[in-house]
Amino acid sequence: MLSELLTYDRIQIGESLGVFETRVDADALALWRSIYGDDVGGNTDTVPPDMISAIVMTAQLELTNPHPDGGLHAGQHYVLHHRPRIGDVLSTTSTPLSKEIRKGRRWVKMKTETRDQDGRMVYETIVTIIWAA
Amino acid sequence: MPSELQPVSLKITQPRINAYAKITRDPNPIHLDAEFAATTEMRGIIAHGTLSLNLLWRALAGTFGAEACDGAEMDVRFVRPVRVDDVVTAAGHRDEADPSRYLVQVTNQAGEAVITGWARPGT
Repeated sequence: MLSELLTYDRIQIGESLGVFETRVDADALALWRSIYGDDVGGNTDTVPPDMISAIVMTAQLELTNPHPDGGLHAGQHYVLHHRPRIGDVLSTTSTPLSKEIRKGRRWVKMKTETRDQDGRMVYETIVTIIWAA
Repeated sequence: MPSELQPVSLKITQPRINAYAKITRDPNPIHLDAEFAATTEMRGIIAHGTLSLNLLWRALAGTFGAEACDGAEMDVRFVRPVRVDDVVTAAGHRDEADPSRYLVQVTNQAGEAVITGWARPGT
């Protein structure tokens, strides 16, 4: 967790916000299926591909915590390199790529990279967020 | 490749939003607190954009199998908020200008696009 509220003015372009580790376990999968129902596409021992944005978003929110309430996601670009296995330890880094104010809104782009415990890249994402303050 | 992705629909209920907030550790009150949300430019609770976006991955996996998501790429914009009790549907059709990918969208029950973009299955 950051020591100060991460306002738009405090976002440093190119400066990594750190690493967040998580693991998709049985409890997370059960909660996921309570939202969406059964997995599709023949998942077995791999994390459902539809969890990519939740995994990345969780990491990105944690790495920017605390941040002002009320922010909005405006866009996402994903590359899913490999579906991780259930139980893999996933490490995500987040780095601000750019920020600008347009029409009174604070636009921020952040790049995230997620790797498994073997260092293999599993997800890459560019997240576009309208920062709240 | 098929000309269209197999569509996937979901009703966006408040319990689903709450569960999604829990799994993503996202306590943003714009998704959870009607009083706060009413004071924002959205003027009420909206669902997490990615709650609907995930349906596009499910459409891709349902059409090609989950293994085809290895190497897949997706680019989307959130163009309209999703409200509690909206029914959203993710779908896509082959991009004539680039047959390796699909033009995708998520629409609400009124047929309005809430997410637009493109997706390319893995090879």
